[in-house]
Amino acid sequence: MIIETQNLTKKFGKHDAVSGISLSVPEGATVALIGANGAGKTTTLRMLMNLLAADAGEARVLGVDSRRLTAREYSRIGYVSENQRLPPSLTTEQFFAYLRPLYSTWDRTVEDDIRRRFELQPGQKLAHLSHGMQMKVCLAAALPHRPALLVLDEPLSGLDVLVRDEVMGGLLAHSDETTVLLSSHELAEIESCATHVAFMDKGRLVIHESVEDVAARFREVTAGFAGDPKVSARLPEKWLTPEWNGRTLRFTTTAYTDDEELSRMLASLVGPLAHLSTDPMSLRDTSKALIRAYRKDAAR
Amino acid sequence: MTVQSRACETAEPLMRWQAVASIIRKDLHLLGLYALAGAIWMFAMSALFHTYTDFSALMASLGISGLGLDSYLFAVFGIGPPVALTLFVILLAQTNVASDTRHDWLIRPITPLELVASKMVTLFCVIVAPMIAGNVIYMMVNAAPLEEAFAFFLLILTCCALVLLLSWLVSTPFRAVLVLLGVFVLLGVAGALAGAIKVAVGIAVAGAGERPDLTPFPNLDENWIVELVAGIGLYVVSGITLWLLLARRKRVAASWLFVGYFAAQMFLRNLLFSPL
Repeated sequence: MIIETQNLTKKFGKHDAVSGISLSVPEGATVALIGANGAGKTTTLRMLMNLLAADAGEARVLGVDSRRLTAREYSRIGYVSENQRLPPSLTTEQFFAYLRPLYSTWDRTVEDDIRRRFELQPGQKLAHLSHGMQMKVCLAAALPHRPALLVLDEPLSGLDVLVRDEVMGGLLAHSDETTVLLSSHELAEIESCATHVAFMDKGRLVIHESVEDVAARFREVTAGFAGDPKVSARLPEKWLTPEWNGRTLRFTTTAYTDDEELSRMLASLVGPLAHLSTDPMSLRDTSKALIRAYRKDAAR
Repeated sequence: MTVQSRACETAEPLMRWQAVASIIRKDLHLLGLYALAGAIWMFAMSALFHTYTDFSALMASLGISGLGLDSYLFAVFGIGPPVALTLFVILLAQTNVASDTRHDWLIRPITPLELVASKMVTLFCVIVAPMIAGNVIYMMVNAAPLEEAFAFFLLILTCCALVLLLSWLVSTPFRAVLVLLGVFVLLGVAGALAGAIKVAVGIAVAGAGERPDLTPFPNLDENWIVELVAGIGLYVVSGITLWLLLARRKRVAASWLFVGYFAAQMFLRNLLFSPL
């Protein structure tokens, strides 16, 4: 495993930012860390990078305890965060000139290609760049040393659609052999490259599995009933956010196997079915359904 | 071959000079004018003024002794440099902020040794080297022994290093200044506390109105062995502080250790060695 955590925990005062998460990222995977704001994604990534000390549990990154990450490991890691602070008075060129000697594996061809692709002007001061351009600089500075692990914390946040596409294009073009751990709210953009999904809610890791498995078991269900359905029937917990509209029930199932099994359950719990549709869900819709369900739970 | 095993094979040295040079270049880009002004000031100060009488002599040579500008010149050139140097060191520390997790350099392959080395070289080039060069000129003009030109430079470099370390423990230059002031207050409190304890014990032993000196080892005040032990302790504590801060990201623990060392030293010196 490139990343492995065991019961990783972090508190800020009395608030549990991260509560005992156990996450594993296999070599070559692209793991999308998703969840609502305040779910603990950024804190988790910062602990993995030894930017924050965990209160309990442990994390291993590139085979090393994250508390003992040294320059040797950092030379194999690319990290980009939406809050990253660059040396403000340096120009883009000066910034890259400063970075090059720090890495023995720095590839000038990759650097030139990304800087051309992102249209980064060499003479512009970093402090004068827009947020989008600064994110491009961060990403361009995270790839030329061909990192074994790329950790991206909301790299697409605040970027317009065009820039998002450019950033994702640049990322995909230069990270084919890289393991990626990526937190983002822009799920449409990352869906095509993610191999695994980790969903966090209030500091807990709720889902951690491959994209295929998530796609296979999550379905948007619309069921129409004949006669008088039992609207007050107690529905399984794996059916998220059920909503009645007349004789039609809509919900998200997290345990889909096939239509036949689902029809049987609906008929036995609610009443005779008139029609049933089960639609595959995008990562974005899956995430929305999960966030809504956990919010509802919390409100209760 | 897995990524982990590949990582283990490539042993990085503790310090790479090209990385040190790169950090120095970056710092000089960021602090260019401050660094230049600092170097010129240190050189000019060392070459022109060594004692208070140098200011009077300058006034006399310009034929304006009557204006009484000596004290103003002393204020500008005598008190200004330590303040300016302190600010420069604080700014130098802030080019690699260690206390804010958002700064880019924290996830770059920079070892603590490379970072400290780069800062010390910068401090030497901007402060110490111009000071020595200015001193050499002063000594030559005044026919004084040349070895005096090198007096105190290690002490100045050590003071700069301590301010640098203290600045790393806080996140902004403003806080660094506040913390420096706070440290002076803490040292004052530690010294006063030791004195108060001795007075209280004296009263308890000899009665009110009597103040016998109960300092256990007054002869060891400013003893070289004590100073050596304190100096070694300072280097050890500084090293541990840097390790806690840069490798373990334990800023609070590092801050307490570093500041606590000075307070404890002040307390013990006053309690054990300083006559009442």
